[in-house]
Amino acid sequence: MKFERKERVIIVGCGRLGGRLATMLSDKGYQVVVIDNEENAFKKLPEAFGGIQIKADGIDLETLKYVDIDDAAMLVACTGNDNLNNLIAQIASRIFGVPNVYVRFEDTDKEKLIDGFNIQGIYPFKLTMGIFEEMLESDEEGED
Amino acid sequence: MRIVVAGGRTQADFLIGDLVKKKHKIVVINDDAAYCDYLSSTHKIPVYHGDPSKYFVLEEAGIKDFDVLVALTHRDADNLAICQYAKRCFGVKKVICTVANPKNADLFKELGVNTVISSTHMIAQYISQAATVENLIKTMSVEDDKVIITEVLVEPNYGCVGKTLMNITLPENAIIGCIIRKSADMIVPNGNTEIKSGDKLLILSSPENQKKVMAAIAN
Repeated sequence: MKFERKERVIIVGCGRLGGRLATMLSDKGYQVVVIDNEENAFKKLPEAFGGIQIKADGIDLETLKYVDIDDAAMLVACTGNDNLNNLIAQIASRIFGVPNVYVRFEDTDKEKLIDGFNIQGIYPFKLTMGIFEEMLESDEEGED
Repeated sequence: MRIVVAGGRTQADFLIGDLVKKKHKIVVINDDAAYCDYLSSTHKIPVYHGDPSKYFVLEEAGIKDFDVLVALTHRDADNLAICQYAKRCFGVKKVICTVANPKNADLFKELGVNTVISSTHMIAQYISQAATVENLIKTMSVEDDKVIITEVLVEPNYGCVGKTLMNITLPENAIIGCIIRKSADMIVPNGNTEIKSGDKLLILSSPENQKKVMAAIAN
């Protein structure tokens, strides 16, 4: 990933991942906008959070236009619902042409929905499996 | 035709009944176990219990190369995922869904759903059509509803076509204040002005007399 600082990043879903990601990117100097439809969700952000919090529906086109999605450098769809994430990511990439779109999917089959589009999937399941595979491989090497 | 109906409650029940009657081959997927039991016993068709926005559920239901999929869940995002799976992974020819948010109608079409039905949209359309049928395109009230301005488009079959204002009997407290005609910008008519088909009349009247005015113009 190569972004110019001060570029805008939109994060939809202020859960554990969204909240931490927003904090990290904001600390690194990006202009961060976090959208969540639950006011309480923003409690996960530190008091000194330098980004913008918007309590709204992330799949609503008006919300996305309001945060100037068409000139965002990156969007991360990480609500707790795979289908919502799919919709948000597709709006960002296919309708507004956001150059870097990341989507979190619990269900790895959802990959089939974004296949061929300029959307990058993040799969906690695959990441966890990857760690176990690595661990087992290194154990086997250790036995040799 | 081979049709799969995914999700939905009452509308699904109605739609399935209708399609079965028309001898289509129907497969149903629904995430409510009790509702699945009800549907399969009522309509005698294969019903799969599961979340239709999951790939393996659609796979199990065997919808490959079906002609039509209808997604009726109450979540717009779920309907999009169902339609996209059906089209991209199972070669379903035509995908149709309902949306709760009318703004999603055009959006979903752009994202590959063939037909998007928004009931709010349809109601709005119906109302505007009903209004044009009666040609009461716009009614504006002034002075706390004491006076209303009605805009009427004159159809070729209206009784007033070809008549001068002198020869049209309007009820009391009503006057044709202005005629908007394509060939001219606007006309403030007098008794000798002739009404033509396609004219737009702006009529000032009391609200009680609006219907009588319409009758005088149309009949």
